[in-house]
Amino acid sequence: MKLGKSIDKYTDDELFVLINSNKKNADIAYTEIYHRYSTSVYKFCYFYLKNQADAEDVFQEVFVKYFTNTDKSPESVNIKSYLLRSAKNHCLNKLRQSKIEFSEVYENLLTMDNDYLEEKELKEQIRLSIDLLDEKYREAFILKEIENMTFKEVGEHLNITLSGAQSRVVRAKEQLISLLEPYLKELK
Amino acid sequence: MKNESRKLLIEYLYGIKSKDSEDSEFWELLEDESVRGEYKDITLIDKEIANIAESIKPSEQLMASVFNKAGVTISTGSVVGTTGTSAKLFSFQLIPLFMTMMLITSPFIEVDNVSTASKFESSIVAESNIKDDIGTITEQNSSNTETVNSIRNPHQITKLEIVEVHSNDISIKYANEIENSSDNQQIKKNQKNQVTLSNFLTDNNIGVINIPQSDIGYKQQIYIDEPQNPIYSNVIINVGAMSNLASYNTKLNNEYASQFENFNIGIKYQLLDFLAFGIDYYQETYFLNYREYQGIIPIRDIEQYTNTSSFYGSTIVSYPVLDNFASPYLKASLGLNKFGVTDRYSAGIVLNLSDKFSTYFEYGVSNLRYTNQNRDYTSDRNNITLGIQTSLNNLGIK
Repeated sequence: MKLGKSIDKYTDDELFVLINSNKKNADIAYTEIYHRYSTSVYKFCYFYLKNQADAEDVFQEVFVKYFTNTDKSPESVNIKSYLLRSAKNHCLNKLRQSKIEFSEVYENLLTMDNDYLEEKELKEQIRLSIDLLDEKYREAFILKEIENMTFKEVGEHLNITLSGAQSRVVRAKEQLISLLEPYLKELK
Repeated sequence: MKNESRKLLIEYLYGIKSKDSEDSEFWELLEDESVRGEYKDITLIDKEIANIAESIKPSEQLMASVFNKAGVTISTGSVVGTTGTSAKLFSFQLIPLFMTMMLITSPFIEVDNVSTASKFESSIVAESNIKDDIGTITEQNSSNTETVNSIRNPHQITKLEIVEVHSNDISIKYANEIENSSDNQQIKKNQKNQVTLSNFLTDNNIGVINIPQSDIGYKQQIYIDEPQNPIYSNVIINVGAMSNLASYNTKLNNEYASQFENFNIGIKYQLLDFLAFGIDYYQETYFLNYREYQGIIPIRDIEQYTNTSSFYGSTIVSYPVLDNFASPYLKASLGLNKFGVTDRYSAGIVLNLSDKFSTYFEYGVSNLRYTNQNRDYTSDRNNITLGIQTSLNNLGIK
């Protein structure tokens, strides 16, 4: 007896082949891809852009572009990596368009009075602090902590060495703790 | 806290440095109260980050928006495909949600007939947005196209899914909420070319329909028989009309033709695919012949006919051919009537003309020896029978 496998067992390679077959197959493959990677892409956009509305815009652009681009390059076979790279490019464009500077957010954080800080939940503080991380550390940190990638995967995604990936994530964590230090003291 | 200690602590917590080794500085670090405080802070932060990561998900509306903008249909139906290098790919789409089906004249329910009500009301959870088709399997870049457009199912199937299609196999997986109903299911192909697989379901509810290579490319109908007691499906009722052919030992045929139209009714139990045992009641006409000789010269020739009731016990050996459409058989019977014991041998063929009823055509010969007033009568007859038969469960007995 031959047993089939359900769509969620398909590898990225197999999904990629489906995409390039007929529309029914492509629709099924796209739906599976969405279920498989949408949360990752969304989280990435969310933390990269610091703004939910912008994150949703970019998130949509990434998937719509992927779904409608019929001539997909072989590199897009690694679908998650492709989508995250695409998300990053779209995020950078978005940031350029909206001209948001990290300093603005940092300024906001610095000008918060103590009472406000206490009222803020730790979660929100962490989110704001992640926004303030240096760009090159922040991306590695998001990939590691939010996307749950291994250091090896972070390195591969960013085209850096394993030790480079470890170094960036550690530096990001150091920065994050430094940024949160005043708040944590208040909390205590 | 010193930056160097912080970095070291983070590296230990990330597993970059091993804190399990004997020369680990980790435990030494934790002796410092400020490091222990930082350790707690980091743990708290990590926990919150994990919570944040968990809580951030795109909404359903966002998903709908993405698919709408891209012109992609949300479809979670199974993709089925072949293994190996040929990499044939299929898609299978089923009706989106609960689908109510109506009982039709047969004990089956056409999924295509979307309707309400009936005690056999069934529902299928299928995963597609095609509303007029239970499922379509298409094979890309090949003439071997399978289309499953109708699945009849009289009981509640909650999930039906084509798992895999090969050039000559379709794997079907379904889950059924009715207790114990997954046993002894049968999947048949279309009516004219049935493939029946008993007990096709394995423990994981996956069955395979084997489709002959010659049928690839034609529309297939797949339906699942209603659960039934196998005893009732194997008990077959038959009714036939019998006509006696001209017999070499009687001259009465033409004069009493009306007396020659007999009938029979019987019941048989199909013990094995090829073996059945039956009991029949016959209303039949016997032609009794007595001829008395003096030397080699016949001096008395008595012919008479009589109608009588007979009961026969039979053994039937059959062999299905033409994909179960036809079943030739041989039948040996021993009967009892007012004349005594008689035997009957016949050959026939059963043709499965519909889901419910079969017709049979039979040619038989029977012989009787009867002694009365010291006269030994013989009756050697041959006749043809045309009848119909059906199983008890087709008559509504499940």
